[in-house]
Amino acid sequence: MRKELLLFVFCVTLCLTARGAGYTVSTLPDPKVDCADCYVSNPDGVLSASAVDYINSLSQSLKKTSDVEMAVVVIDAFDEYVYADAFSFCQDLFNTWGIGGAEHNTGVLVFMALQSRDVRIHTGGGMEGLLPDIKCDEILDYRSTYLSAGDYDEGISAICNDITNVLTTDEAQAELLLGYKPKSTEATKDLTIYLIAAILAFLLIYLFGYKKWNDKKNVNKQALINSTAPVQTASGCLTLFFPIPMLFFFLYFKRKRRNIRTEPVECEQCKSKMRRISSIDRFVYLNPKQRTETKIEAIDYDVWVCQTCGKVHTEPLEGRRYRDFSQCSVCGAMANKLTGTTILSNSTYTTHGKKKLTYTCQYCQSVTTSVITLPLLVRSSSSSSGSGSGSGRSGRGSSGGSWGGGSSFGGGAGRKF
Amino acid sequence: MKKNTLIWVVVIAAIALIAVWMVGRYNVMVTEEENVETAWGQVENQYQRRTDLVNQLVGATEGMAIYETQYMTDVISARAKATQITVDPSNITPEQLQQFQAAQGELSQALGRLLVSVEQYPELKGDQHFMKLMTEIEGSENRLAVARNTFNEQARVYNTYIRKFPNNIIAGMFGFDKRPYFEAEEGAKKAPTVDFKSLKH
Repeated sequence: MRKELLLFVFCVTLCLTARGAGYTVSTLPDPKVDCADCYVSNPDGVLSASAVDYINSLSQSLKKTSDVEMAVVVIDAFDEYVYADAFSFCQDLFNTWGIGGAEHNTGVLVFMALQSRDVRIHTGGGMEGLLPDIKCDEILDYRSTYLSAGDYDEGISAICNDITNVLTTDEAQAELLLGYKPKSTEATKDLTIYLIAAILAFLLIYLFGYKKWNDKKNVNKQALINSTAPVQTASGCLTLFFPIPMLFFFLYFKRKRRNIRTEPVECEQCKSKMRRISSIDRFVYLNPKQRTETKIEAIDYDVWVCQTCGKVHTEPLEGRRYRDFSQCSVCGAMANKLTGTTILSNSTYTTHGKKKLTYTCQYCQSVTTSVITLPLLVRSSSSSSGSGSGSGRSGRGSSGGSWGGGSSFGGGAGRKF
Repeated sequence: MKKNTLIWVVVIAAIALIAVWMVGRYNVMVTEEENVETAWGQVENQYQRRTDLVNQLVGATEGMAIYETQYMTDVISARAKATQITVDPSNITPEQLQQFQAAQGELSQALGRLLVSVEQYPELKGDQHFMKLMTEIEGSENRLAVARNTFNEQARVYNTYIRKFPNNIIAGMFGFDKRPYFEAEEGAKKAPTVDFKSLKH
């Protein structure tokens, strides 16, 4: 029993030591995650808090004056099974985090690993002119005496200070702020999507509207007018996005729909052309029921009168408020309006409720009622009372930031201290 | 008549859609190919930079004790070999790339041996100019590794894209060819090579 326990303890320690062999780029904490103004990753506490604050202040001033990001990573060890040397760790870390402005790759990484005694200044692609390898090597050569003596606070701070000094001379500032090239936008892809959408919209309107108009079998004028109303609206709205084809459709439909209403109708008796009565005069020709329907805008009647035999023809069309009315079961007028609702019983989670709807006919004034069943209540899975709980985390998230997206081509210098 | 018009409109729309789609794919291929070419440009730049540095190094050490050693002779002969091989970026075959890489790799190894041997020559360690050149060459080797990786990465993206269906049809129509990769020589160089034949005895 004791033997097995020992074996277990041995295995656990082995696992832990194997895991703790060093950081990889993915296990190394990113300082930007928690705070947008932090530039130092010091997970093993090698640097003191005051040194971290000092370096952060240097990085912040660099970031403010020019788009340079100076990141500092001080760790006990990197995972030597994954990375051959400090260079490959730095290179991977630099491009994974994206240190420095993306446009000019203005990033610098100062890296130190205690166990392998590595110190390195890794420069972004745009910094190789201001911080050539020789310059980096000089700085490291000069400051590594602190590191050899074990004064890491002073050593790293001094290295960061030297870098800041190099980058804040007038010439360096002028070079860093020199002409930002405007980024060329990928407009072609958006244009392709736009063109495809335009073709689809064109096809849809063509199939639903244009084709229907020109279909000779479709002789029912009334149905035609009613069914093409939404197409006209749709093409009108789409004009905003695709002006050229849609404006044509919109105007075409508008004209057609107006023309078809005013197009002379043939008299059924004498086959001569009939005359359309203007909207004010037509009331004389309508019966009281039709008058009411016209007044409440449920149905719009077009009235035609034959000039030769005097026959009157009325053509009912959907009025502006057609959808607000239903047909009265007593007089048959399209004038039944919803005038009241009463809830007879509320729905519960298990039984349906009932609601009474009252309709009043605007023509014959007869009142009809109908009872409908209400849907069951549904238990909502999340209680709305706890809505405040999520805000804490998002508040924390918003204070975080990210690196600028710069990349390195492998510049810089490193040495053992 | 009307039915004919409809058929024509649908056919034209279908052709237009296919054309738009093909243009899109084609343009992505051109962009990816251009990326590979740019990455190759970086690789060549870095090799050129190293060649310049080696030229300076050879010039700087003339007349010194190390100039007469085998280390330096190796560097000089490897440089001569490496500069002879040039590669056409738009038309790299795997064999050409391998030759190119072998020649350049030989120079890398010669430089590496030279770097180690510097420890034996105290006069060189005191020479500022020489030490600066060595730092530069070291940086150049690092940049080369990055440039080669970037090239491989871009070539992989491009190769994957043009080999996927139905992109391979468009690639075949317009002559987009697969690009070769750099072999991983870095890892191979580090791992100790064991001669199993000699172990048997």
